Amino acid sequence: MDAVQSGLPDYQIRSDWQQALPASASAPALILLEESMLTEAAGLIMALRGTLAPGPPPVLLLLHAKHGAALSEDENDFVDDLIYLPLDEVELGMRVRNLLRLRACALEKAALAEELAATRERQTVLRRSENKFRGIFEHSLAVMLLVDPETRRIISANRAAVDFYGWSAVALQAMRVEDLDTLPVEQARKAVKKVSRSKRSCLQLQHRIASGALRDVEVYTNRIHIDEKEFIFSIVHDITQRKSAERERAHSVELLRHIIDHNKNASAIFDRELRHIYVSQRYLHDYAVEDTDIIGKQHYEVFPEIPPRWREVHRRALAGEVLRMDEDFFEHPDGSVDWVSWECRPWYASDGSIGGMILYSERINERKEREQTIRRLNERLKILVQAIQQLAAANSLEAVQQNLVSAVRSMLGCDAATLVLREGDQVYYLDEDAIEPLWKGRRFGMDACISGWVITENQAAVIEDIYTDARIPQDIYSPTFVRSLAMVPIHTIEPLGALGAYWQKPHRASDEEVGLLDALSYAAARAIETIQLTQQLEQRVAQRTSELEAVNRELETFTYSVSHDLKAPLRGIDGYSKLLFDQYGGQLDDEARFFISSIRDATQQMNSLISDLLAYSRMERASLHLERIAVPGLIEAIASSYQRELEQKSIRLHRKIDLEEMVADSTALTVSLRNLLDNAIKFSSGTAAPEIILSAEAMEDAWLLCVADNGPGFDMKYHDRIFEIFQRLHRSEDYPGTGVGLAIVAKAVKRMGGQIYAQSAPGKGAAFTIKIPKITL
Amino acid sequence: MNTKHALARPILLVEDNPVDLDLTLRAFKSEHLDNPIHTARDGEEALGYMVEWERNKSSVPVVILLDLKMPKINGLEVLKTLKQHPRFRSIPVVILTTSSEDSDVVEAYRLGANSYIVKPVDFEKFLGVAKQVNLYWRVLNYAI
Repeated sequence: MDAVQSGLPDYQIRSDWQQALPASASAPALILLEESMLTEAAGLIMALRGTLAPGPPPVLLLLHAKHGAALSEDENDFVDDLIYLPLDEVELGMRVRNLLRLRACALEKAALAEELAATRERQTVLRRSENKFRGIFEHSLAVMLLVDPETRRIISANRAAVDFYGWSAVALQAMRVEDLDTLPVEQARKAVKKVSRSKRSCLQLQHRIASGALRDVEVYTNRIHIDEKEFIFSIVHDITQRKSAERERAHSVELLRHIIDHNKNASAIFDRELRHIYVSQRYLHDYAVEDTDIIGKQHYEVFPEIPPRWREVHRRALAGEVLRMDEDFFEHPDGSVDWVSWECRPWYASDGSIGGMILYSERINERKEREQTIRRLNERLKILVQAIQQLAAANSLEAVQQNLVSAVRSMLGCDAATLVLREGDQVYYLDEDAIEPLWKGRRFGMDACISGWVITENQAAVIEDIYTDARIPQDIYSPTFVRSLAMVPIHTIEPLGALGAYWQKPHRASDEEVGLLDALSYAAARAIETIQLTQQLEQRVAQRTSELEAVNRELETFTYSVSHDLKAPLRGIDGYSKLLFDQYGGQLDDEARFFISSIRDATQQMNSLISDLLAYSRMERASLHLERIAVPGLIEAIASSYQRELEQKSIRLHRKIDLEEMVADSTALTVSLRNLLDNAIKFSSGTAAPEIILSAEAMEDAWLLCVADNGPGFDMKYHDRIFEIFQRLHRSEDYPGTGVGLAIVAKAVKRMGGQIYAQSAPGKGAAFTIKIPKITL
Repeated sequence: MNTKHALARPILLVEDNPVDLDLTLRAFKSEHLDNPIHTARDGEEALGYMVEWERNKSSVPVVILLDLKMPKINGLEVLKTLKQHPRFRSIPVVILTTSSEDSDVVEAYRLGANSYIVKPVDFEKFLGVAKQVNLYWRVLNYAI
């Protein structure tokens, strides 16, 4: 053992196999086995072989004798060398060293083999991974680029990149990143450098594609090592649409803000705690706050004066109600009042919960003011219209003056109103309506009074403070309550007067008030003008009437003269021819006497004509006196006056009176009936059995009086002409007459509003009917 | 009243038309009306007679025949003056005129005319008028 001991590692000597089995310590590098323990040890060594890596320690069998191939096949299998006892120390040492060297070589070889196998395994995995990666790279729908960070050259580009950029893979691989993105070269370089330093990054860029169009892209980069070299692996997402949508959305938001900001409503958006989230410009303006003041602040912190009823509204809006009010008021601590129109509604978060509330409000002070102005103006106009109506109805100057001052006062709500009239070089304060008496009934010089100025200049005076106006006579005004006034002229063709309104407190009459006053003054002036015009017209009518009366009297005088002056010579002709005949008839022959009788006939004819003309003219001039007439009595009276003539001419007069009473002018009716009777007598007297029928009856709406004869009649084609003056249908030697009688009848009937008809035929007599429409008295 | 017999007292005829005047005189003559006839040719002359009657206390006419339409002063004015005079108002005045106007008739009677006669053109009727004047106004009126 000593031989072994020298230059050998540690060794242990075991006398049996149980002891020789290594419990936990490392396996022995060499086993020296004594031949006698061979069989016993064989199983153990075989077992060791299976468990010990990289293999069992070599076994050096110590043989006692050289017996040749005494070892079994199994023993031979696990024995690596043998040495015969007794031991040669040197040989043993050599043999052990040899075996240990072999053993070390085997172990090293086994280790190498093992490493090689591992390397091969790794390479396979890598190849598979690379294939997988390449497949992903090539076939991915995402645009992928592999970039050399040193040169910024595109090393590789996948199919999707080719599709996206529109360049071929070859062309792409000839490009640098700055050829794609729109950054200047220097910036591109910096960007690449930065990317290459970080493990992964994301950039938003714009890439230009083959068509020249720009695309918004998002580039995700990753450092990657290939073949010991570092590359930048980029995935490029086309976010053009997303960007465009984002820009659209940003624009929409901007637009909405614009709309909100320029809405006439002041808008404010609050969160659930009523903190301002957003407010429109109008809101800031209307409520006089700065944007920075208000955003994030609680509503009641900004406006502590908000009343409880509005806080209640806010609470309800935050609970989901929509509330609004068209007219509401907001009283400030200083007592001033703002009129607002508002709406309060909740807004909802994306999860459907109430996110807060929106308040729209509009200050309607101006609208309210306008409304009040309009209401007041309406009331004033109503008073003005009433006053103008009264003025329009006025028919005297007194009626114009009446109520004028009270209308001014109620219309303008002033403390006094006066009506001033011009009287030569003075003004006369005719009427007033005032809280305290002013100057009613007094007169002042035109040049000593504001009303005089207004009248002279024909223009309105508006004086806010009478103590500072030179036109105001202080001594007249100082005892009065008047402080302010407005005065307008009343002006027709001539300056007539003035209308004044006065105030106790300083008041500058507005254009509207002066306008209303002016309108009233204008209406008064027109009313006065109308009255003056009416008076003038009435005077003219009266003058005209008297002129007409004068003309009428003249006409009467004329007809009077005609009757007088034409008849006087006739009387002479008739008288002297009668005297000639009476006193000298004996000395005349028959022819001379015929001449004289012809002269007298002509005289009588002339006399009748003049009488008829007078009657006609009288009928034209006479005034109409409608009265109730007892018809039977009238006809009886007329008939009786004809009794003798009818008897002389053997004419039978029949009366058919079915009418008791009618309304007519008795003179006109009598004249008409007498003329018709004259006519009937004249024309029927030539017939064999002359007859006249006088009838009267009442129709539904008219009274009819008819005189019919059985004379020669006439052709109806002349029926219109017979009522014209001087128209005759028969020769005068057959039926003497003047041609005036029926014209008188027509005139008389017409004057009574009636009509006259003739009904006749040659040889069949004639009937004349007077039709008077029924009237009642 | 003048007591002189009516038959001897004059008749005053106020008439501007010479023809009418002549015919009236002739008609009176043919009616044997013998009273002296004073004529006045217009209203002024007629009123002149009144002055004369007043001054001379001479006998007033038994009747006055008065035309209406005359120059200067017309018949109605003469009538009015006469009928307002205390002494002459009782003299009967017969209006003898061409006018048959209602207004003239009414006015004449209103002023106190005693009769109103429209002068007829027919001389025979005129003679009737003369007879009427003679009988009624000259004779009968004073007889009763």
